[in-house]
Amino acid sequence: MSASMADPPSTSRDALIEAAVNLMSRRPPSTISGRDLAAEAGVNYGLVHYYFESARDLMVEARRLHGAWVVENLMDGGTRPVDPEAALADRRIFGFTAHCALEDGFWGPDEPRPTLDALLELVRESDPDGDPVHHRATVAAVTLLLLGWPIFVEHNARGLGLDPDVDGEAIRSRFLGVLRSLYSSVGLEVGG
Amino acid sequence: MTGDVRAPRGSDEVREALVAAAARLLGDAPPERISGRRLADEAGVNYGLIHHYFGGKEAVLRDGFTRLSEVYVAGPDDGSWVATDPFSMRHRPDFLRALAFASLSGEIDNVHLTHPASDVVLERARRTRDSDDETTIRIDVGIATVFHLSRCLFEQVIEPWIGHGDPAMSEAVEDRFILILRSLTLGLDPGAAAGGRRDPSGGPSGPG
Repeated sequence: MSASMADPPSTSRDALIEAAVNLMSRRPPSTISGRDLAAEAGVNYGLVHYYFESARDLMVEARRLHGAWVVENLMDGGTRPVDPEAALADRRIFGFTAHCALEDGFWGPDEPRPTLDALLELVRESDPDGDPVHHRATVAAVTLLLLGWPIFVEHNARGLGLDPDVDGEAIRSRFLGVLRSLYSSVGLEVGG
Repeated sequence: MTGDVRAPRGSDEVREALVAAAARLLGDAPPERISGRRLADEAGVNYGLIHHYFGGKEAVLRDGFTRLSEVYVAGPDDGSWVATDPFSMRHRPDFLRALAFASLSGEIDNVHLTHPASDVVLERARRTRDSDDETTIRIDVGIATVFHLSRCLFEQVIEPWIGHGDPAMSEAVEDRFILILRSLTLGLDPGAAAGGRRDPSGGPSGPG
């Protein structure tokens, strides 16, 4: 998957936003410095403060833009759900969100959640006479599972006596089966 | 608060203060951002005592983890919930966040990250699913645990969107979450659970 936040980054500012998405998908914002961001973006450190109040400000901006970016690039403008296999493979989708959610102040209760709204819209179109509770539960459950994958899966595997090297494929396959079952309960078919 | 709080003295008090401090800090920050000095400050003890009693901050953090785990498993004094209740981790956000941070950083020995209630859940699952193979049961319990932890950890992200000012919707969806959690553990169809289907326990139906 090569879609970037700005394709191709046309300015240093875009490069910084893209760098923020990349880094924040790998670790929580509090562990990321302005220098990390500048290095990842391949720009001069001074530009972090030129374009943004602070490194944190840059990261908040990246979070603000991220949802709409996912809808645009990974849901074809909201016309299809995020492919579960892509969601597991590309940490920039849910790894990013998970790390932001771990930090205080990164996610306000009144802020829009474009990916959830877009997915709900798809579900309603696919299952117009369905139960709204079912719809919301499905959208939320899929999202929660995908958010949990980059954070908890490896930890759980070992703690349960599984070996990620041996059982990894079975774990992944079962996980995808769960997601597909949830999607298909509201009439959405995804993946191969 | 009355009386003055004197600094911990003696090996027991110092060890306890450090472990308690670790338990508090682990819920706030990833382990790599918890320095020995910060630990010592939080505990109100001399920094050198970390090495003296534990050999290093890593050992203190591991004990802090164990402490968080024990507190969670013990549950509250009033017995208002137990660790095997669905989504019980919502009552221990400090432990939950510590698990998330440590899991991401890989800095805490994986052995110490075992979800404490997993053994009980596994045992229950085995009894109901005696014809299913062990690996599949473990994988399913693992996925159910992901759902449990994620539901609790990301409550602030999801809940306002679900409820949208409608408490009846919040309650109804919560009920579905409990059904979904159960279906995951038992290897039943989570999609049907999301739709509100309540399988009788011990049902032989598989997913899909």
